[in-house]
Amino acid sequence: MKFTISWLKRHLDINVDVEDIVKRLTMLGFEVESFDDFLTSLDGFVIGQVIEVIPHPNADSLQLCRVSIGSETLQIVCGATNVKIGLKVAVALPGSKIPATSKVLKKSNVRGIESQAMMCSDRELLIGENNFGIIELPSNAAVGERLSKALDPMIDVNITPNRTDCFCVRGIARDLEAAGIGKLRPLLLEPLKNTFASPINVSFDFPNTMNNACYLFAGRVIRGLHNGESPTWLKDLLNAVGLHSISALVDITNYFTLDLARPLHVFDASKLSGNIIVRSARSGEIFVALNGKEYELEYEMTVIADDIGPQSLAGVIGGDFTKVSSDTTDVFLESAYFDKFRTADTGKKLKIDNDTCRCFERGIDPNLVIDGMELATRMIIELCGGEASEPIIVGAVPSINNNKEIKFYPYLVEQLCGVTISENIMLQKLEALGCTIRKVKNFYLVMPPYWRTDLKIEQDLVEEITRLHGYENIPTVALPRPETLSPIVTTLQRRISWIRRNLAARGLVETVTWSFMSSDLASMFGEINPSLKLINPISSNLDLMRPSVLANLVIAVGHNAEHGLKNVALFELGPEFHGDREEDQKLVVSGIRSGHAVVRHWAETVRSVDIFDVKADIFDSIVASGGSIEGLHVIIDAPCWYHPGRSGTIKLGSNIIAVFGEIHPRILDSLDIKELVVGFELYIDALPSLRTRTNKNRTLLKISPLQAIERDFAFVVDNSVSADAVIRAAKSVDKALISDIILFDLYKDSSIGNDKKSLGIQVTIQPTKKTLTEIEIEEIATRINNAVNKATGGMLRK
Amino acid sequence: MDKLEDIIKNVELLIDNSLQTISKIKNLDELEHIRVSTLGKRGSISILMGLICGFSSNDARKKIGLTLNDAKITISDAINVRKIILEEQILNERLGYEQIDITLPVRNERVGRIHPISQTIDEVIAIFGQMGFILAEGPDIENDENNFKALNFPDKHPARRMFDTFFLPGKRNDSQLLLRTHTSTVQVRTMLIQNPPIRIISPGRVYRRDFDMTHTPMFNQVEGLVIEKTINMSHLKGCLIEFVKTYFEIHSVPVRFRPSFFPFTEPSAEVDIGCLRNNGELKIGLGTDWLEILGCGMVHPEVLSNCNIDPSKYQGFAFGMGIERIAMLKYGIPDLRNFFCSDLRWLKHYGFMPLDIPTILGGLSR
Repeated sequence: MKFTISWLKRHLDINVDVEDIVKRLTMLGFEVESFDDFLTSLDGFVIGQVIEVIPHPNADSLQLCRVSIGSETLQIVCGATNVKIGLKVAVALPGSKIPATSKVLKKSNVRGIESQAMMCSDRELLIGENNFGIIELPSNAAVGERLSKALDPMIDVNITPNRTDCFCVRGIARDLEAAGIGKLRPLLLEPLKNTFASPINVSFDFPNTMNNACYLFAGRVIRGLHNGESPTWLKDLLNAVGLHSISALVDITNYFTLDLARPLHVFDASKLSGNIIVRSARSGEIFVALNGKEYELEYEMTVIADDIGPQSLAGVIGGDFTKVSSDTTDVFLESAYFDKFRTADTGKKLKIDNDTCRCFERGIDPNLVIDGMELATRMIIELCGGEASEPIIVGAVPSINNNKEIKFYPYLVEQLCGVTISENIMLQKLEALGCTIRKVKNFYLVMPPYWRTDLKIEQDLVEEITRLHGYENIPTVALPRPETLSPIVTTLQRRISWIRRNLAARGLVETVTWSFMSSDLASMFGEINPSLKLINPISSNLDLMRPSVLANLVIAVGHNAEHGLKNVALFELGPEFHGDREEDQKLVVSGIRSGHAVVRHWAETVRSVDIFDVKADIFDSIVASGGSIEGLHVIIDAPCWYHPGRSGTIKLGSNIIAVFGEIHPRILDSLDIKELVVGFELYIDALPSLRTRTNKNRTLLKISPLQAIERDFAFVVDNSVSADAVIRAAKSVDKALISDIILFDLYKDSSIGNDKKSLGIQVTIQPTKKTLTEIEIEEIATRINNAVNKATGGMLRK
Repeated sequence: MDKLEDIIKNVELLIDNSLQTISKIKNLDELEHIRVSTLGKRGSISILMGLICGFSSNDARKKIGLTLNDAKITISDAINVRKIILEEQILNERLGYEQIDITLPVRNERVGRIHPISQTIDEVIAIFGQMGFILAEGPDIENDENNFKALNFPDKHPARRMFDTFFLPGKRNDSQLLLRTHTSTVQVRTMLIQNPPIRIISPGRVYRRDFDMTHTPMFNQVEGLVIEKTINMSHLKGCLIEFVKTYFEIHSVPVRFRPSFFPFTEPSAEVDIGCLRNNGELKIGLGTDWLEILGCGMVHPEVLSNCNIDPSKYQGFAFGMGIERIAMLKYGIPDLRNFFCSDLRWLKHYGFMPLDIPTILGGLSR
């Protein structure tokens, strides 16, 4: 919310600098988003007064002015047309920095005449848009003083939603007074003399379901006025907070919306037909608002209608037909208390969001319905002339004050905030806020003022007391530490960290992508689950909770390729959603590699990424995170987004631990990705959980003193036989003696048959008890040969 | 019969000749040849030794023997010395032609990076961990109950306007499903299943329907919660001031608590840190400007009751802050939106080395 210091001073007698007010507001809970720091930005600017204006001898468009700045009189050459004798002006002295240009002003020579300083416009000082002429300061500005003293700095504060009482200048003034800053001025509330009966009558016509749509409606006719321009002070106030001046009447209603959070509306009385009826809109009724837009109304929206139809949408926006213009002479002024929920709903349904609407939604001051009308009438007559009818009041001031007495034990302040404040001071602060207090035994009953609807419980009072006392006065005490520190992460959280850092060490770059994606993309990566479609997505590209992390990474490959980065290795560790139940959220680490695994290099051969890169990523992740790859089996079967012949599933028993493969060429093609892309998805939740062992002893290492023997075999098998089957068959011969098997060769050639391949394995035999004889070794070799032959049909290559 | 003197002369001649030849030899084969022809079984020394039979006097025999033995040693030494020299020469020659250009580039080994979000979360965990906060987690898809109602946001409450929420079609426990707008949901979950004392932090993804220069529809938060019997706002100040100083690694950074509003805390505060803004550059810990970094407060008694904790026995504080925000501030990362763009150039520049594991004692960051 924006206001200026002079606006604040209309409600509050204070004598403090803007810096002080900013500081106090902030520490009272009104976060200052910005303010005009003229003291800093306009250092070196002073208030001057023009004492002589003569034509420049060498230029028709320039004037030669003598300007007093108190201590001396300066000669200034000026081109502004509004310069005149007696005018108080903003003078930039040599050495000062002009805010709009950031240039330091120097004495200069303009067409042969020395100009010792400069008179500035709003725009040059960045305090307004006006660049037409020089600033005309108020006539009471003190010549010679710093310019900042004659300006009205704007402050923009952020009001928290609980402080519904502070969305207006008076509310802020009232809170400042409670904090001991200044004295609140009373509102001028004597009723006006009214000279005639209102020619327009008001009645309610609501169905039973809308009993509370309008509690109270106050209005009156003001006739014989002139709706001209607003006076400068009003224009300046509205301009300063970003509102354009429209006409005196409109400016006055805008002023009261910001000043008292009292929205008002003025109808051009000459355009109203008959009496006013406050009623429910008829379904489908068309209403043209003063913004020129047509709205189709719904039943149970509240309208202010005349004999012809709706002329205003209650609390939301006025009508186009009855809006005031410069020709308006008679008006009907409306000040009402409409239901806040209904007003907010209407605004939301019709997508109208303005100050008025927001005022009602927050809740307006019920005591200001009639007073507000009186205050506005007074200002209208003051600025526009005319005479006021007697007021018309329908309904009654709503008793919406639900505030209750709060039981308050003073010790709670110290218990909750750790700060010692004397009981007297606490009570003083509550009273300053407008609370009434009764002492009962060892506690108090505190009744908050009607405007503080946010004060409901004892803790609210504690906050008020500490807020006014100052949070800076709460001591700082170290949080007591636990006696012994123990792990703060679970084994799962720990292994996630291992997996993350291990993959990064393997050369993959971690990324974080949206948890949502487009349904179109997701449909390439499995079936769409309608329960995961967002009702209100931010865009159609992000309309579904992602069933796949991998899909986002594939997209990322495409984005990087567009920048010429084709060798991509990325991974993400995060959630996947397979349904809307809690257990359907799975933790997945997914990785992707594209382009070349080995790039052009003098010592290496170029190699594309392949599925064995990502298969290794999976195995290495499992091992690095404390798991074991023993017992895992790799199955030739993978989800549809992988190349059917170049993908696999890694299982432990019947549990799927991971899937990997080349991304299906059809998907790459539809995403316009040219590079080969391989990826993997490791389901971290599916990994067998790690046990934290209390006994940290490792099993004893037994190193055999006996020499290990290595033997090579080459088996010719059918192409369909998996390498894994050959290795497992060989290993099964003697699990105790055979310590390791390496597959070192894969050979295909027509000489061994087109449907055949040769697999070379190196078997390491580690004797455990005694050195093996040549005969014993031969016997093991024969058994390996037989076992592989039996399991796979493989024959030793000749 | 040769005279003794002649023999001695011949030996001296042999020595002279041999030493001269040896000193000129250029390769090991020739050297071996000389060794055989002088010191071998049928070599010159052996032949001369045969002449010893022609002498009967012991003195003469002895003299010849000694002379030849000396000659053998002298020549053998010369051969050995020459051999060492030649071997040295050969090695040097080999080292010469084996020289390679050591400025050639090494084989490519890719090193990945840790995303700034993960790194920052690890830093936050390291700091709060040593204050005894346990890591807790909760799901991203939540219901209205846990995200709003239990946290004291009644239906239609204007405070719900603070967040623009994403909704899903279904319900859980009869309550509308949505994407959590804050990690405060984990407070609720933890308090429902655990009795005090409670001390948790909970980092994770949160979602708000907002997308512009400074907002993304998804970002990360970390929530903190302490529920004990006597924990009050002065501890909240102590805890968070310690966090800010440790995290930014600036001991003198000014920290300011000012009143604010959150439905689930009472009293509530926002925390600002001192900084200096100069031509778009931001220096933390200097100057007179303030920068908001987190929200906090004493847990609202309504929230405690909603989570089956007796507010007359227990109290405590909660806080929440944006991970990306504190990462941007500490590491000078300019644009929030880039955190989620998967651009390798950005990830490699702002990312962290895999083994840069933040710890308090080892140093939080480089």
